[in-house]
Amino acid sequence: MAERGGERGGFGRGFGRGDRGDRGGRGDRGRGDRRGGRRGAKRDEEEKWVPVTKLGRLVKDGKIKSLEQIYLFSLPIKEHQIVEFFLGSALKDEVMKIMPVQKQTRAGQRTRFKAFVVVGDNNGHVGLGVKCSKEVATAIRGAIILAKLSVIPVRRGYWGNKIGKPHTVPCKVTGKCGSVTVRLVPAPRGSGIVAARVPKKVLQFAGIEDVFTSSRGSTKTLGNFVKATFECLLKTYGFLTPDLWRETRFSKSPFQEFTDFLAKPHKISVVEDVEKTPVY
Amino acid sequence: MGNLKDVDDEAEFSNGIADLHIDGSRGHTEAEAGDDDEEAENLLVGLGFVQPVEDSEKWKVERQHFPSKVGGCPAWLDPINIPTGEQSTCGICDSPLEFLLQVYAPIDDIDDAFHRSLFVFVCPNASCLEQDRHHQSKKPEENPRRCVKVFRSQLLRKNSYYSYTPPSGEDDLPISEGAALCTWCGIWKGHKACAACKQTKYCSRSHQVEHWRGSHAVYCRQVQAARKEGKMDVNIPVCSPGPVSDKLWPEMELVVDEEDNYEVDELSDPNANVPASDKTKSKAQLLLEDYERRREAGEEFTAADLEDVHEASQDMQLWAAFLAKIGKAPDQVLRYCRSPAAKPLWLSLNGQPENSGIPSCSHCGSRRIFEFQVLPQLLNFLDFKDEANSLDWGTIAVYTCERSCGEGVGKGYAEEFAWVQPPPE
Repeated sequence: MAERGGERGGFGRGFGRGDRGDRGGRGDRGRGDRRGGRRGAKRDEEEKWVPVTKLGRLVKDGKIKSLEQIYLFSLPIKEHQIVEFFLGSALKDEVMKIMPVQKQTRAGQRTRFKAFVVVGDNNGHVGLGVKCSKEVATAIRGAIILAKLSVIPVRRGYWGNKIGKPHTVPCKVTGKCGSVTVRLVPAPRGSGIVAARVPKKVLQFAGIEDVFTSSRGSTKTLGNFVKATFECLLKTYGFLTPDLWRETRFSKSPFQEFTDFLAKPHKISVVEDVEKTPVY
Repeated sequence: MGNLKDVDDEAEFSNGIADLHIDGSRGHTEAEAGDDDEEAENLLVGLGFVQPVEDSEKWKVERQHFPSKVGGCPAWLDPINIPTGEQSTCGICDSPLEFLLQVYAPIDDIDDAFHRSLFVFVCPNASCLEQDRHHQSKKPEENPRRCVKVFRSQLLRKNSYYSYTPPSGEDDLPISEGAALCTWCGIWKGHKACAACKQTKYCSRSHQVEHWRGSHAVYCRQVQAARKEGKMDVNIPVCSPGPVSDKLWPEMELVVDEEDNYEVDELSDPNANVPASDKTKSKAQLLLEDYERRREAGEEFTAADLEDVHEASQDMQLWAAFLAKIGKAPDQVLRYCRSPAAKPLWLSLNGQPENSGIPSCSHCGSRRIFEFQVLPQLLNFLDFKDEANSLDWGTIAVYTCERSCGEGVGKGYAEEFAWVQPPPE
């Protein structure tokens, strides 16, 4: 490795840099010419995950047994790789729309692109993300991240006989957002998803095959059908149905031994025996 | 691909009902998180990555090679005037601080800073870090007690510790010896000594006790016995020069690479003269193509359909922008950009300092500017035994004297300012 940095007489530059005007020693990467960057090389989308949160580190280390443990204690999942770690990276993404958005500025019009992305594994997890950016690719990438961050678990059940895989919501659930109320009702096999376009897409990606929906309220003023639909889906796990009527036991939080984490208030959304949760 | 010709005349989506989450954030209301890209185009960001050091290459991280490193003991730039006393201990629990990392960051325009290094120390106690949060926003007059400390040292090219010419290899040594360091931690000055053997030096009582419990008790008694007999037995093993502690963090080299080298290729890459096979296309490109296909088949959603789908909260967007940025090189552990215009890459809206929250240089009074930040990815490499109870941070942003003044450094090391943003909720 040739020693560059003439004005430094051969001494390395280390981390010294800041404004682009300082680009004198651009070729000099200091010791450890470790990589030549990745320009032109194959983009490795499935890069090794380096967690940025404590929960992420615990999951990667195998200290957390299941995703349900995390949901049970309403611990915020800030890294989508946590969900994928347990699901085996089955989250698929799809661009729903790219919408150009224009803003009047004194210099004319500024066009940006708004990307809508839905993610889901068709097996109980779905998320929706929106991102606006001046470049389409950036908007898409940003929307994917936001969608993955918004993933919720969706519980499915049967309309009638418990034959085959669960295909509908486990019971009637109602969700509200502002003055808008949405109701999801179990439907027999073959009914399909009877819902407006966007909620239908969300339900599909969640792995729901049949469901009836009804809604009331107005979107134009206060309220939001899509959000209300998400509220419904969240409630599918909040419902204690007959098949779960067994002795419930408080199970140990992943961090319970450790007082620091306990000190933070945790919402308990579902109280059930995690190990005995029916596996569909 | 990438040029959407059908630009409908749609007015900007004015935020209505969804903005139930907008906080009174500092200066983030208008610009989206992604907009920062436009301002930051003039700034060159250096990324730090860890790289393990082979045993045979340990010489590379010795001080005469001006290394940047993580863990192990610090390669003090000024080997004599090392911080002592209160500077070297946690302001909250009083134990000696542990060495996190050091960055060699000379400044071209300042002769005094031909050699310049910054050293970051933290207390390994997670509860101290929690309390530190309250102290870091205190004004200097209020005597904040910190558990995260940063020290700056700089030297002229011509100095009494190192040769004027750069070291060439393994065998080069500094031209003078450094001060004696604690045998246990190898970090701080060993100005206390073991009363029994009088040979082994320590920085503090706690380290003396730990060493005693470790291997020193045995060794010390052997030395005392030998003295009584009036001879130093050849067979007595020499006490290892230290550091003896097994609690030091794994030693790794910190290498730098420019963020520009990790830019993700955009949809239309003029340099890509490769046939369009799926493997070389980016994820975004594939999704876009898939979208176009569906659009042509008439399956599109209308704007009215999507009216209900609002953008995420400011906080969520900031977090997503953080993930997007580091996603270009996920194993980065440090982001370096020393400039008055540079801003740290924050993880969330809360836990950011107020505009006035960065104290001026305590030595010369000039303002402090952002220099670098330590990312949470580093925690993956520190090998905690008890992860759930261990240190956790969102980011540690280090601000240093804009002039990189010589005033504080005259006595050896100038203390700089570190702001710790806690992990996002």
